[in-house]
Amino acid sequence: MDLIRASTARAARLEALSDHTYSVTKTGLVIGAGIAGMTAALALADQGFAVHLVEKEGSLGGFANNLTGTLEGNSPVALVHALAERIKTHRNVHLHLGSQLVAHRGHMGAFAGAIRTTSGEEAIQYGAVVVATGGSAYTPTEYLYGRDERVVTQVELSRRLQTDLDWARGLRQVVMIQCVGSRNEAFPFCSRVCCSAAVKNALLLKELNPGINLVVLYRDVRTFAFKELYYLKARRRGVLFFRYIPQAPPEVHRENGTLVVDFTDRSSHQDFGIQLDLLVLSAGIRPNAGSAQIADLLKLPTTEEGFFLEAHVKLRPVEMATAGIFIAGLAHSPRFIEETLTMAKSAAQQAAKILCRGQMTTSAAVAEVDEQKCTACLVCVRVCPFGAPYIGDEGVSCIPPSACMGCGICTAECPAGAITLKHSTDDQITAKIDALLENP
Amino acid sequence: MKNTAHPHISGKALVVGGGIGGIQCALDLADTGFYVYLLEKSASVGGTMARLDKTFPTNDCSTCMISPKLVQVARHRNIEILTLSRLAALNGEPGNFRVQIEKQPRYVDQEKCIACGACAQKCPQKVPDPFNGGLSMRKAAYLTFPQAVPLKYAIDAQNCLYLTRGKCGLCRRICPTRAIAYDQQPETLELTVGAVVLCTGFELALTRQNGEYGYDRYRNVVSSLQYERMLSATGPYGGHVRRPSDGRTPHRVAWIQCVLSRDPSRNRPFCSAVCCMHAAKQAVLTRQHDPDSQATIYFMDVRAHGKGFDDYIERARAHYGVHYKRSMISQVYLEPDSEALIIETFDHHLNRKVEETYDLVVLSSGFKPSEAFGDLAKRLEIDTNPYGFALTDFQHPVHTSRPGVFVCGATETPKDIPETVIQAGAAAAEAAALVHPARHRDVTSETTPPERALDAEPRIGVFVCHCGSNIAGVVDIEKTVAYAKTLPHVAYADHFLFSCSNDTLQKMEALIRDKRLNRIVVAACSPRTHEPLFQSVLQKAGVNPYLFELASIRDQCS
Amino acid sequence: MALSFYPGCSLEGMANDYARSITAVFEDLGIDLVEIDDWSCCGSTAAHSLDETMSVALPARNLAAAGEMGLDIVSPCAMCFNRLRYAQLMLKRGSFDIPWQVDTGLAVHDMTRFLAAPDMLAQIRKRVVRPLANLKTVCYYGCQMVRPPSITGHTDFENPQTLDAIMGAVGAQVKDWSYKSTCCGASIGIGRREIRDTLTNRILDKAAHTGAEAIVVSCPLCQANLDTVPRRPGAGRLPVFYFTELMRLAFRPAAEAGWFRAHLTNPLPLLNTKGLVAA
Repeated sequence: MDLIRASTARAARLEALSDHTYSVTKTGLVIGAGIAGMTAALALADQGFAVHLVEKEGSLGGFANNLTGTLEGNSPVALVHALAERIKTHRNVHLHLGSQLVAHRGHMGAFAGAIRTTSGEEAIQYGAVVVATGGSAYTPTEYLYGRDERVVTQVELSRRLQTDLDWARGLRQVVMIQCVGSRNEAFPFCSRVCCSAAVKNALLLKELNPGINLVVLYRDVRTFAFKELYYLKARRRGVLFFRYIPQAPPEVHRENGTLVVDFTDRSSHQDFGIQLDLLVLSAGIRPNAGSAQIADLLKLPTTEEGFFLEAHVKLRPVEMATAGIFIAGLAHSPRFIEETLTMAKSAAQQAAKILCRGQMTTSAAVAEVDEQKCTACLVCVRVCPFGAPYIGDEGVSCIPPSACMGCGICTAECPAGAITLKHSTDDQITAKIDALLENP
Repeated sequence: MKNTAHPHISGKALVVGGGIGGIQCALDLADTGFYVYLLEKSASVGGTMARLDKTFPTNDCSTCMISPKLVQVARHRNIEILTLSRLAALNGEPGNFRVQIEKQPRYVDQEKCIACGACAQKCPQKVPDPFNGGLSMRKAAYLTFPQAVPLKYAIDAQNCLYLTRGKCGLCRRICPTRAIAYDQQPETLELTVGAVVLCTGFELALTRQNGEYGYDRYRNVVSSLQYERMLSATGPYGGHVRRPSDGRTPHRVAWIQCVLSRDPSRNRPFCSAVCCMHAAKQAVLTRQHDPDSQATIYFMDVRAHGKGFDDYIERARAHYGVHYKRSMISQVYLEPDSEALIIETFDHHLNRKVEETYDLVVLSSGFKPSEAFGDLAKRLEIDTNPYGFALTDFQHPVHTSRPGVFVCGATETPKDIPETVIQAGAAAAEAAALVHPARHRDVTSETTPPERALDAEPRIGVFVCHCGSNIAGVVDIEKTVAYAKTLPHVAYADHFLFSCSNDTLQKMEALIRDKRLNRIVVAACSPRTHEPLFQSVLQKAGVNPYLFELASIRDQCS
Repeated sequence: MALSFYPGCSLEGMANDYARSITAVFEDLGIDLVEIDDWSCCGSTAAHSLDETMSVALPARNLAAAGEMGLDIVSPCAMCFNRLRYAQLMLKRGSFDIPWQVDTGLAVHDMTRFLAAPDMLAQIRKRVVRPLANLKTVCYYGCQMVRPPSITGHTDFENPQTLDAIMGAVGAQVKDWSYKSTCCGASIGIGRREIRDTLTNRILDKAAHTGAEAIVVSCPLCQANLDTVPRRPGAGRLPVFYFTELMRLAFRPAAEAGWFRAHLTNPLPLLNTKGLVAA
């Protein structure tokens, strides 16, 4: 009852406000031209929207260029080629290779920014952004990686299996260690793809040499959905899977030039030592270095590990909290290629919701500066998390209604009390508090 | 902006399946300028998500999350929901399909039904409620669940005494708006659409026939969805977990993972991807409901491969005290006196087999594509994998084998809600790419009535929401409404069962106009959930949408 | 109706009571059981542990003989049934170097499944003269008759219903329990007795716990284990009947009951109390 009394007190003082309307720039911006970026760009371009596709490297494809094949036998390289062909020839795609986004401001439907290209800076306008800055592989420091050529990652093994079949056929004892650089204190997440990568390479090795002694040391086997069928196949082909626990991980050392891995089987509680020809580390996924720069520029939140943090895990998985900005691919979280393609199209579709409109409106619950009271002290400019206020030509603070998110921080901080937040004015709030504390 | 080019491409799409996948896909298409027919085989959209209590990894209330989308879909000018319908035939080509829809009769006139519930109250025929997994009964005249969309009753033709034997007819006599229409006939609709998206979802592979682990044999063995219903406030026991045998609270609950998943002997060798997480969630909720309870999960691998999932499992173990035992259980035994269940497992510390007793056992059953999909896939000539799931292409992951027909959600592969929502967006993008030349052409546009000039005096309307029993269970609604009437400037006060439901919103609109209210206060949940909804009601009633205030009595008081 | 009959070795010796009750019951049902001429060993446990070809050849000889008779086979012993079906399955899948021509399309019936078919149950009900109304039973199926499903064709191996249905048809009370096909140890009792003792005793304990007065089986080895296993001092024991013995009781209430002496656990006191035999 107290709450209702307080609410009616405020309600009596509410004013009618009008939303602000503005035109939408019907162009999209996609940051990153790996498979996520290319797919998002094409999804928009195919719907008739112009797209700026910005890629800091000199070529297309991102991390997928390092991959040789998927568990199901599909070709990432063929995918990259197919996408690249379409990107290069699509009349709606403006491709900027060797370029980076260096400036960004504005709001959903009406952003403005600048790209630094190989030939200088170019100003661009766009209505929505898809961030697809991608990911990279973790470079292990554990298990003698980098200090012994017999220790490789799954990605490296995959490439050698394509180029060096004789070497592969000659392998007799191979051990794979899962969860390297994942599910630990520094990086507590699962990299999702590594169990499948290990099974894929294990099956390839068994195909080349059925007599190979192949052991996979795992914590949980996460070959979910139909990938499970390949795990079953690997076990039936004689690949041995032994579980380890993080408190007692496998140990690797060198003995007279031989590489040895020691581990304890959790079922029989027996200790095993295997002399290896090859140790394969299933190293996890990390966000790309470029993600941090974009997070900073676009003021986007990230998780502790550096992945972008979406607006809502369930209801808005490809949207960022900042309206008009969307996320796809490894920049969000580790995922398989099909999942990245799906996410990129989904992000593009959310962007299309903005780009397909002629006009948008913004909330009227925004901050308004009383120019008479403003002393241009710059507190509001510094304190705004969205970069909305700026000192205008009149020498006082200007807060464009379409950039203001109505959070009220500047209103509270202004030492001169020059800012009013519409729809949360002082008298509305005071009335509410007074009513709340009244005795009924 | 009207687009008259490409007259042979239809700017309409057909989405088959009204679960979260279908709903999201419909919204993603309708919000980008296309008209969507949303087909649903049952009497209400919502799918499996409407049956869940909370969802991992945030433990958000599932209904709270799907309700805003349900309402959006219900009120969207460019989404037409066709319930009790199925896709009978698909001809033509991408961009210009001719579809044939078969609509079963609801036996209730949707224009007249006000969802008062009198028909269900009077109906003498009780049947096990499939929404609650058969744990409770519903009447032959029924509403699928309290927030059903459309919020209209339906008559179960197979169990209605009048429709099967010509007896009874009580509902027709009692209905205040004469909405009961026993003479409704099945209808066939012929529609033209540019693209089709299939999102028919999943069902549990566990059935009464396959009798795994004593399911449908021992009363205290339930499926994951049945348990989910027990946890739900709108479930068979009002949110209390009870043993079906004696109605008492079970203190020792066990989950058996991978039931009819990862099981080559039953020709179900694949993994259903979500059960590790939903079991953890259910175990956590159980421990929250009853701190004295013991929750144990028997598993093979913990598949927590999503963002934040490992963290969730760790909290389940460390913070909530859920016991994890790595042991594949082959059989559940009944203790006949107490109807408790005995599970034999191998204890690695004692190094021998032990028997552990539980009051209730939950089977985390694997998923299979919904029953209707098998038939549908054959009729539409869509390729499926050996387990009935839709086959897609690596480079085009939401394309089925038939051009112009896309797929999303569990129809393609078992997956969780975020992945389904993402895939729904992708399917919408593909459909949009196909029919984009007709964007904005086949839709109706919103016309907002002009704003009335503001009266000098504030005339406040106060609407107190029951939120089902979430608020009404704690707050005295009558007293609150009476109190509100005494406050300054309050011209009208009333209460509603669910303010966010479409019907209530329409009532509110009418009341605002009739009583010339120029400001409203809704005492309900929180502005975060439904503020835009109530603001749009004000707009439709000709009042400035900023003249709205929400008192969070649910979050703060109940 | 006629069927070829494969009795198996135990019916000649240890399970003689089973054999006699089978003869009586099938006579009453009007079904001709024609014993396969010169039938020989099915191979049982030994053959398949030693040699795959032999494990197929031994049952195949009998399948060939039945094939010549042109009659479907019924086998009362669960192990024989399992081996005959196994041979059939193996011969369907591949070829073996054996000298006999086998018709793999011949039906091999487990006796309980044959008698639990709806039309047979109707016949059984008609033949009942005195229903066993107050006899509380649990049915124990053992392993070979129901598992593995690819051989036996049983899909409900955790909760088989055939014996339950037949006992229901003769009017006995049948209790549900979780141990219908739980391992009793089978022939490991020969080499590792203590394992058999533990497993079988557990089954007897669980059976008694349901309130049953008797256990009903269809396999000679099940009967042997359950009937003869040493019990802890003080632990009671339940009589173990072949299902055909109880059927016979229901069909021919006045028949002589002397053969029950073949049971190690004397069932006569129970049957007397129930008024099911003349004192």
